[in-house]
Amino acid sequence: MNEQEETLQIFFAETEDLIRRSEESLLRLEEAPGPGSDLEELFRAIHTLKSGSAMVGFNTLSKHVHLVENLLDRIRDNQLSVTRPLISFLLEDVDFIRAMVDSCAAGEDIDPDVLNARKAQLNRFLGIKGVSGEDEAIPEIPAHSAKAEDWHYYHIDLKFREDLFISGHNPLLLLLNLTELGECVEVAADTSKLPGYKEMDFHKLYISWRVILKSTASIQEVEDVFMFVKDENEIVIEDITDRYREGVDLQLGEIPLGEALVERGGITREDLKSALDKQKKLGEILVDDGKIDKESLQKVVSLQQESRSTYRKTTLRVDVKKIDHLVNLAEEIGINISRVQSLFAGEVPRDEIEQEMETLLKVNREFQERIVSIRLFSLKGTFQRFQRIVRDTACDQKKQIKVILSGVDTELDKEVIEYMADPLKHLVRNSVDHGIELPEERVAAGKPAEGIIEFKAYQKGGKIVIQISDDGNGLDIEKIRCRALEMGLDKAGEKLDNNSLVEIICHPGFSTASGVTELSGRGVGMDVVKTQVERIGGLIQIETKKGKGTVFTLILPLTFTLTEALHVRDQDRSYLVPLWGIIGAEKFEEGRMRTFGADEKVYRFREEYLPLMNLSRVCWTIASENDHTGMVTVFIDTGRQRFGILVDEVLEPYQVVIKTIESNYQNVTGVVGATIMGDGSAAIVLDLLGLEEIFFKHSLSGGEV
Amino acid sequence: MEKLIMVIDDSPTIRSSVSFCLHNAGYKVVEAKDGKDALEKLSNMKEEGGQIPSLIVTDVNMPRMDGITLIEKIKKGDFRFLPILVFTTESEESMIEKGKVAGASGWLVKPFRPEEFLWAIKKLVWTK
Repeated sequence: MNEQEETLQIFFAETEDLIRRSEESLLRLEEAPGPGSDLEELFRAIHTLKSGSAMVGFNTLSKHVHLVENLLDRIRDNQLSVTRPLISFLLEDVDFIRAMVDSCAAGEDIDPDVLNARKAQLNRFLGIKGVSGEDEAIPEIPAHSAKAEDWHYYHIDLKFREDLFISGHNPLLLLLNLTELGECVEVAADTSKLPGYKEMDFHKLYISWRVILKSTASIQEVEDVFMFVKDENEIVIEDITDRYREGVDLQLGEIPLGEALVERGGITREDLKSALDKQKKLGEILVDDGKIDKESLQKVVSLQQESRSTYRKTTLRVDVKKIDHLVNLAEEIGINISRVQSLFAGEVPRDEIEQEMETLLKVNREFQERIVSIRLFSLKGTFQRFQRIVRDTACDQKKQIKVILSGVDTELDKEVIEYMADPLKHLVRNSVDHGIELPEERVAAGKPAEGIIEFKAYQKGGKIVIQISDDGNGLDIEKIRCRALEMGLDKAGEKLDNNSLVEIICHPGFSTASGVTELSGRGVGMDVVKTQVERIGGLIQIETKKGKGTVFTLILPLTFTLTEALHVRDQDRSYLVPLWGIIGAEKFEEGRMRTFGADEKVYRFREEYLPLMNLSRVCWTIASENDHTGMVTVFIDTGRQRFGILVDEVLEPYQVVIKTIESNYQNVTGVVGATIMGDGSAAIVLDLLGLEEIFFKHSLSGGEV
Repeated sequence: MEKLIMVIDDSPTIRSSVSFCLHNAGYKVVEAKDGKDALEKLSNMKEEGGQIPSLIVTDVNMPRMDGITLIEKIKKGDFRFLPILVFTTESEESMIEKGKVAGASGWLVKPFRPEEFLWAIKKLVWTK
């Protein structure tokens, strides 16, 4: 079997599967009509079938499937509603497609009458009257064959963006492509922008080109060479056949002398610039002549500069002070190291070396913190965008809302900000949508017609707190309770506290009848918000008061990269417990422990009994016997739950560098990742929220204990 | 050594016919069935020190991880300078713009003929 036959075999096998999937989706769609995953699945199957059949050359089949795809597209756009007749029709059509595929496999033609009848029916659903005549052919691409036509001369100016390489393009390759169209009679490279060796960034392009191409190709063909780069770069192609004769550009006389000298006279653009700089600036002349005052000139100039600077968004702008500080710290570390070295050389008591090491560690820690702070950005931009969202949404819903911002200068890792943008947006929409009432409702409730939404950010410990609060009607606890009961999330009669409120609202698929609206019913749901927040080690809290409003609080890590943790050992393994959740650690005392049932233990910490856990539940080690003598209890408070962990030994605090969150570990509950310790051994970094999930899962689901 | 091209599409038909066309033109091909698969294969190649692709050719609409997300991820990693060619269909023309924003180097509208495909590739891969 050759490769082409093999492709056909693959196509038929895939098509069979696609047709089966289409049928299944159609049947599910009939039971639950409307947009959703079934419609998407169906659309994808049909879409893949269409491009696949076109790819292997079954054009009749592909064109027919294309019409079906159009029909589905109209359903997706809500222009056509899903009815029983429509589903039946589509099922029939799937049968028809199957028959078409079979005849393709057998190498037979399809009866054109049957095909046209089907097509007419499809068009009826599509709202197209009558059968359109001939099918449009795939446009031919022009061949690069040289017909005996006149030669053309093209003047091609290529000014690429500095960051061309990141878009995967290579300018030399494009020039090489040009030579296939004809002869490049002149090529000039402008290297004036090339910086000195030390300043040069090898990932940037500093050179621009000017080419004169002699070719029989049309200007369209020349332009096509630059098709992928023409929008983002300055590519100017001009047919200069009329004015270009044997190396003489007839238009040279019409451009400014300076330009002509650069093009032909061998001076660089730099030379021209420095010569021009000796002339007075335009603005200065105008000021001198009294045509304009200095202030108005300055205004326009600064506007211009501002507009130019907005182009460079991708770089990190760092305060020079931050850099200076780093340089100082680096110097200090250098001095410290040489001090330690000299101490080792002489015979010095050990504690003196240790003292020096202590200083070195302290400086090094500050150094690391400062480096991380370079990545920190203020929340200003994010909050301003929220203001806009509130305004637009409020206008749509005829609500009056005032926005109050506080703590806009609070800084947060750029990556965290980007990661949280969508979840936060969802919360903002929620507040406008469900929180603030209509003006007349507010007045009736004795509140001012204008509602207030407040965005607040502040730093608390190593965490950043972002609060979104509204003075609306508060969440409807009764409705939420009813819905939770329906979904089996809550036991009847139990009091709904703020923690279980979060659990219920953020449960996948949760929504009260009034919960789903045009706005917040789409896109990310609360379950996604919660997952996103927790994935980066954050926490979400909700507080609500009937008639008074709701406060959403997100507690986020300052950054993904650095976290402080306590090094503990258990069963000969090293673990790192994030420091932010630790509220204490004490030697185990038998008398403070109580046992329930077979395996449930609690332990007294200050005035309360906390559940006590073994790490064996997370890391599949064999739990130690019931003798806990000599062990240590570490007490954890995640903000929602408190519990104790039993470990063999507590060692020193440790700074962990955690790789960005999308590493391979995210699926192990209770574990954030792993890190290498100073002695080269590996340690598991624990995820406190994950531990909480493991330990409290039973009580939350209300199921088996 | 022949250049290696990575072809990513959830349809085995398209993968197979594109690979066929590339083989005929003298390229080596590695296939992936969606964005996730592609990222895994790329990181394996990096770890094992094997031949790195000179070009990535990807579909947009795929399960598990779509082409746009894939491009965004590649543009953040070690392979950010690799050229990426995107397949779209006439019903997804807005994807060309999205692809460009994400960092795609070029695009091609399905269905296409082998000449069109090779013509686009020549703008992105260095061949003698």
